Order: sequence, then C-alpha cells, then structure tokens
Amino acid sequence: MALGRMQDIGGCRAVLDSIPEVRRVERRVQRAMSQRIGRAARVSDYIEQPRHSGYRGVHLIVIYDGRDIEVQLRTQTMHQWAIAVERLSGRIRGDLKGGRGPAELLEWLEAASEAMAIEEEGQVVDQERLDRLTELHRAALPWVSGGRQ
Amino acid sequence: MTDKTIHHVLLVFDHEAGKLIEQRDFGTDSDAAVAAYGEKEREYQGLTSVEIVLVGSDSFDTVTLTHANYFDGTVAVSKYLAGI
Repeated sequence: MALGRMQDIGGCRAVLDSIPEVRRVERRVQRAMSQRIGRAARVSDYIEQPRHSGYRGVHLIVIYDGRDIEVQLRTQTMHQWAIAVERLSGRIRGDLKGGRGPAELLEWLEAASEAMAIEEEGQVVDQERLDRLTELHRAALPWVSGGRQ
Repeated sequence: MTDKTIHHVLLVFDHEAGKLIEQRDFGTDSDAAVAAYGEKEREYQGLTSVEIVLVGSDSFDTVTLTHANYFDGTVAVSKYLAGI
C-alpha cells in the first residue's frame, strides 16, 4: 500500500469491558509514560467528545522505541460500532469513521452510536429517538444492503 | 492477556471480494512475519482493494476479536446496526 494511503503504520488496540475499565487503563498508560519519558501521552478523548461520525473511544499517542504509537481503548459496545463501520467502509470504499461517505449512511451511523452510548450508560433510548433511527436506517438501507453504488 | 508471548498474524483482505483471502499465524517468529508482510505488500502493490495487516497479539482468537472487521461473525452486531 502506498504510504500516502495509510492511516497509520503501527498501533495498539485494547477492547475492554466498560468505560471505567477504559479510564483505568488510560490512567495506567499515562502513569507509565510519565515514569518512562517524563511527560503525559497526547490524548484524543472520543468518549467525552465523540467524532462527528459517531466514533467513540480513547486514543493515546505513546512513545515506544522512539516512535509515536497510537493506543486505542474501546469498550465492547464502542468496538461493535467501529467494527461494523470499518466493514461497511471497506464495502463502499469510504472512510465512514472519518466522516467521509454518503450523508444518509453517516447520519444513521451517528444516531446508532448515540443510541448505543445511551444504553451503555445504563439509560433507556426514548421512543422519539428510536423512531428517528428507524427513519434514518430506511434512508441508509440502499447503502447498507447494496454496498457500493 | 493470559499469555505474555506475542503471536504474529498476517491478514490479507480483499475489499472488492469482501473477504479474507489469506491468514497466516507466524507464532512468535516476528522476523518471518515482517518478511512475509513485505512480500505481500510487494505482491499486491498497486492493488488498492487489497489491504495487508500484520497484527501482534496473545493469540489468534484475540485477533479475531480486535480485528473482527476482517472476519465473519466474531463480534456481536448491535441491534442498531443490523444488516451490516
């Protein structure tokens, strides 16, 4: 693959049971970074502030062997969303996680991520939101079932 | 992780066909895994539909979870994402 098309060269991913577990591992990584190189890792907190696409997780850039390595921390729920979206991205040759793709699809995926986050926090997805999701799913269906168009 | 030994797994995924066309577990032989990765990159150079990934993990089973997008049915699909 051409270097210019690569999203990253190296990385690390952990799929964890819950958000508190993600925070615990985040703290451990930060502690290890402070001890080893005397400063904190750069953090992109997509749980606190999800990407526009709906992507959620915590990314830390750590230094390993003098190189920047991205560590991705996700819960299983966040992982389910990301895996499904990566699968779909491959099919339509888009970058849905990065917010690039058909508008109908992006809108549905973002709404699905919100609903999944609500349930992950132990709350109930209200009927209005469920109805909106049904509508958005209907609009996105040609892309979901047909893949590339 | 239950095992501190890192297994190296090479995956070759064809996005056009929507399937994994090759998977190789090199066990702990990282040199062989990196060499094979380089060979595959050369073999598929210019073919944008083919993605080659080298993953290190405690086991092949873990790879099927962390990189489930390359495998079928290894991660549950949320009811909100049914059909993908």
